[in-house]
Amino acid sequence: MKSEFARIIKEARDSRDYSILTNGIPYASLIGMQCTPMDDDALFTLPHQMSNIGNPILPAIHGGVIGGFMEMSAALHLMLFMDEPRLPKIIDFSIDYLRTGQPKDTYVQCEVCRQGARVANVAVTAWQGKRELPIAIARGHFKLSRGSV
Amino acid sequence: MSLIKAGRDGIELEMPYDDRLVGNPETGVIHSGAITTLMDSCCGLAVFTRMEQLEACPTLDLRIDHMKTTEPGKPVRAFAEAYHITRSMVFTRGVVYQESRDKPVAHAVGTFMLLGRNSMKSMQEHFQ
Repeated sequence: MKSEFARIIKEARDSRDYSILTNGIPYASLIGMQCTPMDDDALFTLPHQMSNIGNPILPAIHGGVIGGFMEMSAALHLMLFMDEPRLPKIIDFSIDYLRTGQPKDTYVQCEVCRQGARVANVAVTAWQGKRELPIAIARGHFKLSRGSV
Repeated sequence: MSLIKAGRDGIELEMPYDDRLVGNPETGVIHSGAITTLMDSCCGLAVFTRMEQLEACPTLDLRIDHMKTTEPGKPVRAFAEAYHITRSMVFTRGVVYQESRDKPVAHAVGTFMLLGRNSMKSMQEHFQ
């Protein structure tokens, strides 16, 4: 598959400039998420913005937005760090909410627990102040496209 | 998102198609994260249908199974019901669909906590 999207993934991997990837996906731009390289890994950031608030009185970030941010992070993590660039397609995603998402910046890191020929399992941790105090953890399965994109 | 129906048996929401929700710019398919937000809202509202009194009810966990990709250009509907309630927990389940409810694109299961009637006091004061 030689597509414009595949080209963007390749370019992001080669240049380690991940903003071309987040800017190229409308949903990532909508919630305002960013992705920065960190050694052999990436740190995903969801800067605080009022449109991501679900409970205006507490206030707290919408649980669905936290989930969407974690899902997008897991998919991008796979696109960027698999042995060769392949397109991940979500199969299932399970989120455990541990603390209220306060109206401030949220961070995510992902760990690929297993990457097989067809399916990848990714664990995702989201935190705000300290990484040891996560606001949510999640795991998801992704189906992988055959061959390099 | 708009409310289509609300009753003791459940909640139905609709999310119109929007270019800003796209996850794959090539196909125009909306990102699964938008479905997660829709289902968190729908399951969360389904909790209210079974409550005797107004309480705060944070999401404890949410699991979504994506069976099919959604069709671009068409709205997405969600239906969720609270199928079991205890003094401190509400168990919900729901489906996401486009054509009809018996052809779901995704399934969701969510557990919510009930924090007691005092938990809503500050919120009610805010609205009064």
